[in-house]
Amino acid sequence: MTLGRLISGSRSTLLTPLLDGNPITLQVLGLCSALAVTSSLRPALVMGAAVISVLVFANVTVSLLRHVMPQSIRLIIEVTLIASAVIVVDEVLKAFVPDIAAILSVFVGLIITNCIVLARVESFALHNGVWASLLDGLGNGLGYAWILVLIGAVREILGTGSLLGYEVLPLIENGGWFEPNELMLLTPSAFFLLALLVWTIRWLRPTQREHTQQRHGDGRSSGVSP
Amino acid sequence: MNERESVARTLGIATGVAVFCSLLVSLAVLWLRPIQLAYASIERNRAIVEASGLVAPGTPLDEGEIVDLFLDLETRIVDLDAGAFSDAVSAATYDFRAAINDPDQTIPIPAELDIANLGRRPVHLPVFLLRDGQVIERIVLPIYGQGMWAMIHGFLSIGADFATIEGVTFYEQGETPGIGDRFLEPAWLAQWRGRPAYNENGQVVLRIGAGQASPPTTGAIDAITGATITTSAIERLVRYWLGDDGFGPFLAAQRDAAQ
Repeated sequence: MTLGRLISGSRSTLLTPLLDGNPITLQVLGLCSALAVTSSLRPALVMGAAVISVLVFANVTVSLLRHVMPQSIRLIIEVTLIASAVIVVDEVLKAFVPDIAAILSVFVGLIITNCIVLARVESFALHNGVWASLLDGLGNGLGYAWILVLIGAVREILGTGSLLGYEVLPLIENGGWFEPNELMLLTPSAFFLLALLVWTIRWLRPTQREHTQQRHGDGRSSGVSP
Repeated sequence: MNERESVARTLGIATGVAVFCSLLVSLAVLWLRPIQLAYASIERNRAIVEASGLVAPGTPLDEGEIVDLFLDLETRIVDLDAGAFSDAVSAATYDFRAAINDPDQTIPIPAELDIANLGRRPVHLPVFLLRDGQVIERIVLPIYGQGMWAMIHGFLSIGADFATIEGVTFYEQGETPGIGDRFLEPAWLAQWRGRPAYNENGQVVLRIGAGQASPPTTGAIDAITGATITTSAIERLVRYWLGDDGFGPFLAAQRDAAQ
């Protein structure tokens, strides 16, 4: 493999999960936390960073062990490594951003069962080198994080009129024009926003559409099943 | 079976990964625990300051402001057995959270009185006084008890009549996230304000009950749907600490002295 191909391969490993292979919008994984922690931007940012750290650690360690791991205890070892990384991340958050850790509560611990992590470990790190696995973990983590950050930002702006605590839309009660929509602070709004996002991406990228059985039949070929 | 799947290899890899992960987690906890404890003690002081009524609950305060407000309060030690203030231990250095788990500083609670499932309790506990000159305006009592999963720690604030609840705050708990921990919601905690803790005979009247919303003149606070075990644990721990084995005799003596 030439150096040029190596670099372009690395780049696609890193960049593909951002949009074309996004774990949330294409694979529709990790939705539980994506819905639960996006009521404002800061927890979404912290959760994104937490998942990136766990994905990179899990992918790198599993890739390192991929030639020596006995098949019979493969899953146990993977989950042990993921769980250890999550415990460390949880302790770090409780020490340095305790207020955000309180908001995220169980959802940090639940990264252990986040499908994205085990999916990357099983489908990628088990069959690829350390460097590629690191990039894959980083790419998928970023792909997860930017969706969370986008939804978190929209919910915070529409729900409170501010972003990261700074007022961006002047509220009526402060003499401005914006009436905050409190629905945005409730979990269902994350569901609506995520659905709109998935729809927009699949409209712009028709290859991501899931086709029904009658692919060329009655024109009901596109879109997400309800 | 090839060499990679051999029993020896399997055990070796499993042990190696287990040791590596234990070391990783242990080192992280060793490094981070002091930072977490420092934050926990700030949160404790925040809970005391909020319970004292110096600031409204939920007021954003930085570390320095919390310390300043905390220093506006007078810390005294109460001897629960004597039901009176005590100078047997130093109020400035007494660590009641350490004392709770120290067999030398605790005594067993009689089983019929142990409604909060504590087993033992310290002889001495600190209270925090908000004074206006000589008059005690509010007294903040430490309270704790077994919740659904973990100990619940908080502070109960009693008014100048030593019989009316002025507020309650909790700073440490491990109740089920999203369900049990709804007792931390400001709207629920706000119900406590102004409730009588005792009747004219000095009996504890505070209750947390299901059913119709209670008028504020009774001692009954609404229970939280879906958090039955947690709310009943809170009821029992508050009733324990207001009761005869807790701060009951001390508060009764203060009521008598104030008349």
